[in-house]
Amino acid sequence: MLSEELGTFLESGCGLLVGSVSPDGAPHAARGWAARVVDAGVLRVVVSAADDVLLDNLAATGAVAITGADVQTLRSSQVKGRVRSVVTATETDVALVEAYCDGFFRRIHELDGNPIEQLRRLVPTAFSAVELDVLEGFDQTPGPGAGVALGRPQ
Amino acid sequence: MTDGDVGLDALRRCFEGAIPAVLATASAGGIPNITYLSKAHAVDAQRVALSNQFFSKTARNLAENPRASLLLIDPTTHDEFRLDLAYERTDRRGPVFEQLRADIDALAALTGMQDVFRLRAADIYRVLHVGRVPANPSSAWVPIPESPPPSLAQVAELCARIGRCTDLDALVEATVDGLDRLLGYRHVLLLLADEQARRLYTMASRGFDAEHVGAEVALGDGIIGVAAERGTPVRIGNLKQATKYSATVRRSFVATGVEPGRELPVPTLPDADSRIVAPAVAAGELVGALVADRVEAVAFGDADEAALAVVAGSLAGALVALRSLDDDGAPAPRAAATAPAAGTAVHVRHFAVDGSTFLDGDYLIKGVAGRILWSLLRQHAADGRTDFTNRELRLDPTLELPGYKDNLESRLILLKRRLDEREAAIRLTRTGRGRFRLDVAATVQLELA
Repeated sequence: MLSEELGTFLESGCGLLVGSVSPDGAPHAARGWAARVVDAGVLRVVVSAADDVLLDNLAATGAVAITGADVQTLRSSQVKGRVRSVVTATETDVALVEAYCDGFFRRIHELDGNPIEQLRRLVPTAFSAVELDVLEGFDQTPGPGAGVALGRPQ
Repeated sequence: MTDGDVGLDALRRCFEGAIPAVLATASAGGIPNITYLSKAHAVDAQRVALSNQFFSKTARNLAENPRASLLLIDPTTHDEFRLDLAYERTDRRGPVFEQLRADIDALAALTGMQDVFRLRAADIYRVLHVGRVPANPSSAWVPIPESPPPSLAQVAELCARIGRCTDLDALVEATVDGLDRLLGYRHVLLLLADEQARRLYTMASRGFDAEHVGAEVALGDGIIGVAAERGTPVRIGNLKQATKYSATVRRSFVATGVEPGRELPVPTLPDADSRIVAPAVAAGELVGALVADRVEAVAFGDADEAALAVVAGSLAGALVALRSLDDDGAPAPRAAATAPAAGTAVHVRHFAVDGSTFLDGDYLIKGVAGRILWSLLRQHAADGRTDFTNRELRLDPTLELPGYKDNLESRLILLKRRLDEREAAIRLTRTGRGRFRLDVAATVQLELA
């Protein structure tokens, strides 16, 4: 379900979202700060270490959804899967976050005019990394095809 | 309901859509779903509404598990907020639905999709909790200066100036000048409805690089056309983001074989991110519209929308009143024929099929205004006449005026402004109520195409 093309897209510096759910069914929206394909079908996403609800949800239920959206075209894809592990971010993860923010914020600034310094207010100060087995993928680009499983005809 | 001092009122700018919102839901089986939204709407102090166009998975999740998590970012401060929501109901009619539908219609109209992309439903959620996501302390917030809305006194002064105008030309000038210099809207358009109220044509503008006089928009086309068609103001504070979203949806429709209507260029200030359109309505009929643009995102608020709506209403009333007085019934004096200026010539080419008229090869105007100019010039060429009345024009069958609500005075002013703008050798001058003079400062060569 994690094709090479989809993995490349999620690694490309697109806007990243992380959805989780608590054991009693409460959904929780959060942002991702870098993504990397670490193995076939395995995605590593860097998240805020200060988001206790997210980390508790991931540890408790293991269910996770990751959405990536291109800033310019708004092409959007979502993968869903099971958490393998949640660990403190490594130096490699943090370096990836820096590179991700540089590229992501620059593109937003160029397209939409948001000041980069103000966009940096959104960036957490500490990070965790979650690794997941990707089980499903969906097109979420705004339009009549939103929600269609990737690889299936609309 | 809220966390500390954070209430929905404090999130006002988040609801303008300048930065896309994020919505997470979960199925009864515990599988989360997360997606971007074009915009979230505040309903009241305790509720938000989300437009439902494509959320098939979200809708299924809410039916099973009526809870959601929403992320919003203030486009000015870049503060981020997380809202815990309880789904209450789905509206397919009523005031909230209509408000969201107006937004979606305006969004769709940006890329000519108003016939294929429509709001299906408005999902209403109760806000259980608002939490502020901690901001990174090493990145300081740089305040962005905001333009204050006009005061009630300033709006009243402009309405008074409008009320004192005794002819259409003065009314148009007083309105755009007052919007600019009195109310602080530096980039404005004033449009009038045509005789059938199917199209709007630009009568005057301020603050645009290129003169827009004469430019037309059909009802339902673009933000201006949507506001005019609905007869209610439309405000957009995220033109760039909305245009991207609309273009993406259009591409998606095209990929499925659906061909939306023609793609329309957005007639706007370059780099504008905010626009308000206030239709001018009198006695239940559309007579025109006022438009204001700003470069900044979320530059207009409720007070700006209200101010422009009041001015548009005042303009509409004045327009109707002046149109009923545009003819004093007296015949035009027969002035002695004037000799053309020596040494200069202007070539006028007129296309009878649509009234298009060109001066020395450059497009000037079309439609009724073009036919008026042609008629005046022919009479001037025949017997040197320079003085005319609205009444005799109304009896001229070549103008193809409708039998009612002909807006003749508006067309004359439009023609006058186009000639002035071109600094043409042919000009119109108002000489009294329902009377005007044709000034010709060159030898005119007429060509009927």
